[in-house]
Amino acid sequence: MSWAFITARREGIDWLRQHGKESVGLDSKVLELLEQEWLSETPNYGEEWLDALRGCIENLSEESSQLLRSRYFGNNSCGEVAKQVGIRLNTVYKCLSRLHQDLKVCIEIRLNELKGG
Amino acid sequence: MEQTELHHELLLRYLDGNLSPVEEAEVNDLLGRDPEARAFLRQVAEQAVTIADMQRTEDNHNLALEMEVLPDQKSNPGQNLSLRDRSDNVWERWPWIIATAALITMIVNIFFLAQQSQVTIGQLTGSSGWLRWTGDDGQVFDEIEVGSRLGAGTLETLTANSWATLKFVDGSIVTISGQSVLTISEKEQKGLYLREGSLSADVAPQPKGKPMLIDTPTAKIEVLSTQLSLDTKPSTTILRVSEGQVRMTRLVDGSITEVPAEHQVIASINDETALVAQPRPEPVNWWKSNLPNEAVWAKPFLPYPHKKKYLHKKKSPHKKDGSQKARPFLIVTGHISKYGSSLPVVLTPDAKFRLRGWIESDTNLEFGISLRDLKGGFVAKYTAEHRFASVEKERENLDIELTLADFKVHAGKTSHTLIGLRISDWWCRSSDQVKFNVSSLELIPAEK
Repeated sequence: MSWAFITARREGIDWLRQHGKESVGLDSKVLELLEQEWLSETPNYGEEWLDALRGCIENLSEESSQLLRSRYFGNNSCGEVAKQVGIRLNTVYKCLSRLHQDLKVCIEIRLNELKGG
Repeated sequence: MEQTELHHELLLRYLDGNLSPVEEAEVNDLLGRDPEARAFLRQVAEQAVTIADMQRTEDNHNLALEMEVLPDQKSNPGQNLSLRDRSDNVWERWPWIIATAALITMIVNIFFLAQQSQVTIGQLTGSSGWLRWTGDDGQVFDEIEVGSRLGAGTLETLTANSWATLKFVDGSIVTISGQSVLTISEKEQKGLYLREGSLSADVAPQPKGKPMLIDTPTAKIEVLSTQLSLDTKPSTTILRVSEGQVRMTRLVDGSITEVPAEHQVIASINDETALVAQPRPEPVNWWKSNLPNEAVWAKPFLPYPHKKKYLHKKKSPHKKDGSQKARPFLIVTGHISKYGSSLPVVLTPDAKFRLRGWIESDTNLEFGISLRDLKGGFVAKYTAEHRFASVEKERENLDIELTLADFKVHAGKTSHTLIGLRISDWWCRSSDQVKFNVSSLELIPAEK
């Protein structure tokens, strides 16, 4: 295992020890599952994946981009985002759900194009 | 609606902290049995981190363009890594973390719970004396360097001769001086909490409906765009407005007043009269202390070495020969204003200070003053040194007069003449561990 792997993993475990599973709100079995799957997916990630995601985000509409920035960079709750944008809370959840799915598909297309090209 | 979409929305509500206990159990059940749900949660975390990282990079790039990069940072970009720098590096290598750490909880929670601490709110653009920075993660740094980028946290100027200037990303400039404690935050709008001390601010236009909020123990102040200064003690806040208009709320009774340009207002917990802004008074040029009532026995000028941490590059607290810097034994400090801290006191040509008291034995005594312009903006700190030799120990042996020519700039802008500047506070300290007291301090104009 690489130094980065060991360091990053230790950071994560330390973080978990500090904060405890209560603040995470997930069962330890679920956490283990998530950890195992993320480990197994390691080879799929890299600079190409990151570039693809960045490219997809840059191609979003201004409204979609604003919503994502407000939620994830502005660190606003979905309720606050709903007030800012002037839509209902449930609509925010629906929009975010759709945007995350669209981004996933977009990334897959870009990565396939890269492999094909 | 498809079941998958319902699941996704449930997970987004989980990340939003918007679930009932029953729904939390449902999320655990869903994630335990459904690989697709776990994959979605990972996607959201990864995408969220990337979006925030891209925006942060863009903001920091803009900040860097706006602010001059320090020469040593230009030439040695890798040598002055601050805590913030290190944090940014963590984000820059986040794909490594995602790819290798395999802990969605870390990513999700670092992002969702600790994201605010990663955001650069402003930069330290000037300082002198001892400062302390406490980040919102609780880390304490007893020394921070000019150029350090700061997120949410608390900045303290620890001693009478300390000051620090912050430039916010939007261009607003805030200076604290003397023994001051300022907490900064920014979520939807800028929030400052001046727990004690002095602050001057030149506030850039704030977004509509999101004024900068400045809280003190006794008042709440809403600022859209203005120049102002504040002096805060536990029981009193004095607000002086030079430009623009500011709204102040007195916390003790909820009274609200609008403070226009060239006006001031005092919010005190002991004041039962109406909260009314008054025109700023004409300055006076004579002042005499009311000691010992207005004196403050100040903290030592050096922080405790075992608590020392550095936000920027490390500096040795020791002299080159290995010995530790001498710690002054006594410091006394006080504010300079007349009649209930309301009349500004300014320096006039040929004015002089007369300082009387008692000193234990031979030593250098440093007398310092903090200067502001008449609008309230911090200008500089000046000091004058006086050497005592062969002092008599039995009586009041300290009686000196200091002219303005005796003062040298200690920190701040050096091009200003002292004439016409307002004195906000003073301090006195011995250079050795020598006891002294100040029984009287007076500013005497030339004609008096």
